Amino acid sequence: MNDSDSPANVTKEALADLLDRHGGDPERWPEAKRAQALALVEADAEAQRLHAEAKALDAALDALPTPPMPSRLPHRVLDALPRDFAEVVLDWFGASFWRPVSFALAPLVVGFALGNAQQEGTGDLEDAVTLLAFSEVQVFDLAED
Amino acid sequence: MARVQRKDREAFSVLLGRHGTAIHAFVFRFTGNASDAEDLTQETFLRVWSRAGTWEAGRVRFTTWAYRIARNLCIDAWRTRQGATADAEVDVDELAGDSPSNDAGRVRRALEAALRALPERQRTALVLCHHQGWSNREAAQMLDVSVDALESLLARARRSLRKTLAPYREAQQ
Repeated sequence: MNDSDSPANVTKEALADLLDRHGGDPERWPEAKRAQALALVEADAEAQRLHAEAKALDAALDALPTPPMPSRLPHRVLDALPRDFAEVVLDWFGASFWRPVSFALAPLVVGFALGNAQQEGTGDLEDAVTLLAFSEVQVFDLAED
Repeated sequence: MARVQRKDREAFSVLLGRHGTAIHAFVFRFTGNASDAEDLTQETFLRVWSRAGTWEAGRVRFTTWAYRIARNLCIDAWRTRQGATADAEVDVDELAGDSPSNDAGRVRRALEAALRALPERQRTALVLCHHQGWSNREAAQMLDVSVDALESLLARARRSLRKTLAPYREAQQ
């Protein structure tokens, strides 16, 4: 607790300090000092001048213009939020009807293509194995040499 | 916030709706520039999203944590832009919609300049307590100082700004 807040008699110096710390609005003054401070203001011309100065400063500060928050700002903030992988994927799927359909059909198409290619490849291999099986095999007997 | 920590975009959207305006106002009051305020508010919330896992419930209030992020970004931007205040003055004039030649305009411009010239901690303390309506205790927690130290920052800031306004008050009397 500082001097201006202590429950002693309010002097003009204490009032000046109280006004510096809390401003001119008695509602913001410490309750313990409020009544005494107001009594002093009512009774003393110098105290009245100090209070008037404090209120004038408050009024001047209140009169400073503050722009309202632009209505676009919340949207701007929400749009700028970083997105995680799941959100990006969900958004991609949600963008059109054909995206999830094409994604679901993709394995089918890929499977068909691979199966087809493998079948052709297996045929060539089988031919090669058959030719090898029925061809004459020359066996060199090293011992005869 | 627990749902945001689990990367729930809907919960994050609610959080943005609940705190966006106040954080944007804080950042604007700090930078004095509408364009910077928009960019820095966006960056603040992107960091809230990416660092949500580091926030511990019960240890620090969400608002304190989020404002600390905003403040750190403002300090970085402030250092980068230090000295380049012309844009900010134009913004403030445009927002008020009045001519800088009238008395109210001159007072406003002088106060804006004085606010920007305050040391960073004094400015943050004043913006939090005056403009954002935080209690001195909450602001002290955000700035990680004692309540007495916070009130000392506020006192110096107010004295400095009152000096700025004094010539205009004398001219009016």
